[in-house]
Order: sequence, then structure tokens, then C-alpha cells
Amino acid sequence: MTDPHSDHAAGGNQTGLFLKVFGALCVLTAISFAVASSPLMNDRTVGWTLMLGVSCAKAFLVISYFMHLRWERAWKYALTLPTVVMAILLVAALVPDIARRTRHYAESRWRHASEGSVTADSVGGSAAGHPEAGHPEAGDPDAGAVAPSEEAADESNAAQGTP
Amino acid sequence: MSHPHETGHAVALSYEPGLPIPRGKLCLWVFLSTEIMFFAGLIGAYIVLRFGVPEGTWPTPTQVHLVEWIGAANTFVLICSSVTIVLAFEAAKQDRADVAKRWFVATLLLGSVFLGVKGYEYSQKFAHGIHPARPRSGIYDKPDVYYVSAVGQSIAAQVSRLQQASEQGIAGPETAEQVRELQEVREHLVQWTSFSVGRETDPVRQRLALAAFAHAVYPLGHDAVLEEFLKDEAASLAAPLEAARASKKAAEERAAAITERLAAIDAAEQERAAREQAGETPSDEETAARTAETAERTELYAEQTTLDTERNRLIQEVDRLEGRTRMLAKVAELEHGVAEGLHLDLPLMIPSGNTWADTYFLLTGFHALHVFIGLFAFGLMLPLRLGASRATMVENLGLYWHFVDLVWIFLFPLLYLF
Repeated sequence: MTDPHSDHAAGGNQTGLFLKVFGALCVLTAISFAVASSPLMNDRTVGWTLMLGVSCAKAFLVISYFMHLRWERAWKYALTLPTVVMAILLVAALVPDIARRTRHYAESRWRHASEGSVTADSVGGSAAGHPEAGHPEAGDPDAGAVAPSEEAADESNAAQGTP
Repeated sequence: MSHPHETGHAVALSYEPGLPIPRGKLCLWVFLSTEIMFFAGLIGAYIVLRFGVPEGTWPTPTQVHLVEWIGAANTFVLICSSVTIVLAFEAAKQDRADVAKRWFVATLLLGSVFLGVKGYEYSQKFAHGIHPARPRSGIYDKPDVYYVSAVGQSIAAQVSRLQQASEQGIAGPETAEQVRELQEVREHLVQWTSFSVGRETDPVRQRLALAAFAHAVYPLGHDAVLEEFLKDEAASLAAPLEAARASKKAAEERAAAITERLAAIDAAEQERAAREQAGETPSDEETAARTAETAERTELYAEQTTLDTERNRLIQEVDRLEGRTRMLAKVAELEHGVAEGLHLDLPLMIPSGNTWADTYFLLTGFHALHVFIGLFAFGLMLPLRLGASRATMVENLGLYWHFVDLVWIFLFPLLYLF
């Protein structure tokens, strides 16, 4: 009978490897923290994708090195893959009904929904208050360009190298 | 011819488990797969709720008193604890029990630090009126008349509680001041808003007035439009206040004149009465004057009555306008709104704040519960010698602990940075 730990214990002391993984995890944490306060968040989808990517990388490091799955035999797939598939399906099943719910809200539902900045609406001049109409996100790059003066438009064209 | 079956080779049988790992480890991995699905359900629910809220309503960290760097520091603490437990396992495998125990204790301490920081973060939320659920939670999703009335009712309840306390003599010295401040807010912020919103016919201005009220109670950030709206209102109060003060002054002057005239009439009447008693017969002129004065007095009395009503109304009007002006000045001065600035426990208007609080406390609460269970297991194993014979035990607990770390790796960006 083989020793169950022989696969990875053979390498002897792995402390150095674990410290390297630790360093990588710290750097990755710092990266996601930096992304959150960087201009990358102006386009939120980019920032979110980056941060989730960083999280997945960290999860991969923890699972393969700290949880030793890197050195385990094929049974690891039998236990982890079905659960991961189930987990993803579970979330995906919620998306049409819940994550996209406000796209099909009736007027009567909007009346009871929480609303963002009221001022974004009323400045736009729509009294009925369809929260999708007003885009209160201050970081929205389009928000500053609502009514650019002609000079400003010329300047930005010049800056982009277009005549 | 040989008989291979008779050569006496006994078949060597040995136990082969279905999977080449200890049974305890297998159990733990099966448990962890169920845990993956459990947290995937929670995190998935959070994600779909988070991205399903009406556009632009999810609270920013500052609006709900979430401090990003504390979360990052806690992430670091948990990663460190993952390293220490893996080093404890390494040492236990090599039968270096003392070293293993040291790393083990370090993990226990780091886990406790994580939980302590979590507790501090929770207490900060509670101190700012953000609770997981009603009725403790006073979060409203939109600035509407329900929100205004909720603030009014909250103040009324607090005032009566404080007054009861001071009647029973258990009130502190600051109670009277607190009651005064609460009533000030109630009259000049809450009641003013309900009256003016009720009279306003333009729906856009109605919405603006309600949003400005919510902004005055708990600003969600710098909002130029609402601040301008409040400033305009303060400016528009100056002329009516001046007019009300002038009318009040005129009414008071007229009242004083009436009192003076009535006193003169009374004096003349007394003089006439004295002369009559002395036996003088009043002349025709005197009788005519008397009749005129009696009529005038009746008129003056009537005017005095209406003037009193008018003067009371003007006094109230001036008080109202002065109070509102004072309140608006205070709101402009307080950077964090009335609730924070005056340390009042008031309902808050945070769009999608309830969904935020529900998911935040659910996710961090279940994670903290897992951390706590891990720490409990660490505590149980603490007295044992962590030599090679217990390496599998340390490994299993380590696997669980890494999983807890893994969950936090996803929770941190999702809850703090998104």
C-alpha cells in the first residue's frame, strides 16, 4: 500500500514554494485593490472583469498549492468538477429572472422600486421618473460630454488627430 | 506436469480504498464540495441581486460606512493564516510537533484577528443605523412621503421616550438639549417638508423637495443640484421673513396705540364719573363726547381681538420662517447631514440600501460563522501533540481553513470593491 502523501511529500520541504505562493497572493490582492481605485473602474465592466479574474487566479493558487490539489490524483476532478458545474448553473439559472428583472419592469413596479439620483432625472426634464433614463453615475465618461461647446469639441477632435 | 494451483502461492490480499486518500480526507472533500455549492448559491444570489438593482442605485462603500482598506487588511490576515496552517501541516508531516504547534497557534491568532476586525466593522454599521433587517434597520429605498413620515414618527417616538425618561428622573443632563434638537428637526425639516410638498403642484419640484429633504438628513454624497435647491430655498425665505417681521411690528405698534387710546378713554370716563359724583351736571358736549367714546371703545375692542389673532399668526409665521432659515443654515454647515452631524438616530434614505444590507450581512455573516467554527476546531486541537500521527488531522482542518480563505477571496472584491 502506498503512502497517500508520497506524491508531494517526496519533494521534501516545500516551505519556499508556499512562501512564493503567499507573495503572489499578496501581490494579487494589491492588484485588485489598485484596480478598484484606478481609472479602469470608469468602465465598470473592465474593472469588474479584472477583479474577478484576479480572484479566480488567487483561488487557483490556493486550491492547487495550499489545498495540495496540484499533487492529488484524478479523484480531485470527480469531486470538484461536478460541484463547480452545479454552482455555475445555479447562478446562471437566477440571471434571467432576477439579474435582468428591471429590464422588464412595468411602470407600476418602477413606482415602488428604489431610485437613484432624483436630480439626474429632473435635470434631464423627465418628471415621470424612469430610473433608467437618468444615469447618475458620476464616473460615467459620457456624463461630462452632455453638451460640449463647439470649441471643446474641436479641441478634442484635434487631440485625437482628426481634422 | 506441474500443478500451478498446488504450488502453495498464497494470494496476498490487501485493503485498497476506493480512492487513494484517507477516509477522513475524503469526507472532508465531500463536505467541501457541498460547501462550494452553498457559497456559490449565496455569492450567486448576491451577484444577481447586485446587478439586477435599478441602474445606479447600489450604495457606494462610503454611503454604507464600508472601509475598503480594512477589508484589504483582513484579506491579508486570512492569506497569512492560510500560509501558517499549511506550514503547520508541513511541520507535522515531518513530526516536528513544536514547530507545528507554533504555526497552529499563529493561525488561531490570525483567525481571531480576522473575526475581531469583522466585529469592529459590524459595530460601525450598527452605530450608523445600518442593520440587517427591519424593524431595527431604518433604510428607505427612495425619497418619498413615506420616508418623510417615517423620519417624523421616529423623532416623535424618541422625544416621548426621552421625556418619559426625564419624568422618571433617569435622564442624563444632555436629554433636554437632545429633545430640543429633535423637535427643531421635526418642526423645521420634517413638518416643513410635508407641508411644502403637499402644497407643491409641480411634480418635478415635489420630487426635488423630497430628495433635498433626504439629502439634508443623510447626504449620499455631494449633489450640486440638491445643494443649489436648498440654497435657493434659503434665499427665497428672506423676503417673506422680512415682510412677516414688518407686519408683526406694525401689528404690535397698532396694538400699543389701541391700548393707549383705550387707557385715555378710560381716564376721561373716570374723570367724568368723579365730577358727576361731586354733583356736577354734565354738559351736552360732555354727553356727546361720552357717547362717541363709548362707540369708539366698542370698535377698538373688536379691532383688538382681531389684531390679537393676527399678531399670534404673525408670531408663528416669523418663528416658522426663522426656524426654517436656521435649519437650512445648519444643513448647509453640517457636512454629513442632520442624522450624522447631530448624532440623531433617524431613518436613512439609501437607494437599494436594504438589498445591500441583506446581502452584505448574509454573506459576511455566514463566512464569519465558518471562521468561528474553524477557530473552534483549532481550539479543540490545541492541547494535542501535532506530530506525524496527527498530520492528516491537521491537513483536513487546513483544507477547511483554506476553503474559508477561498470564499473570502471572492467576497472581498465583490463586497468592498465592486
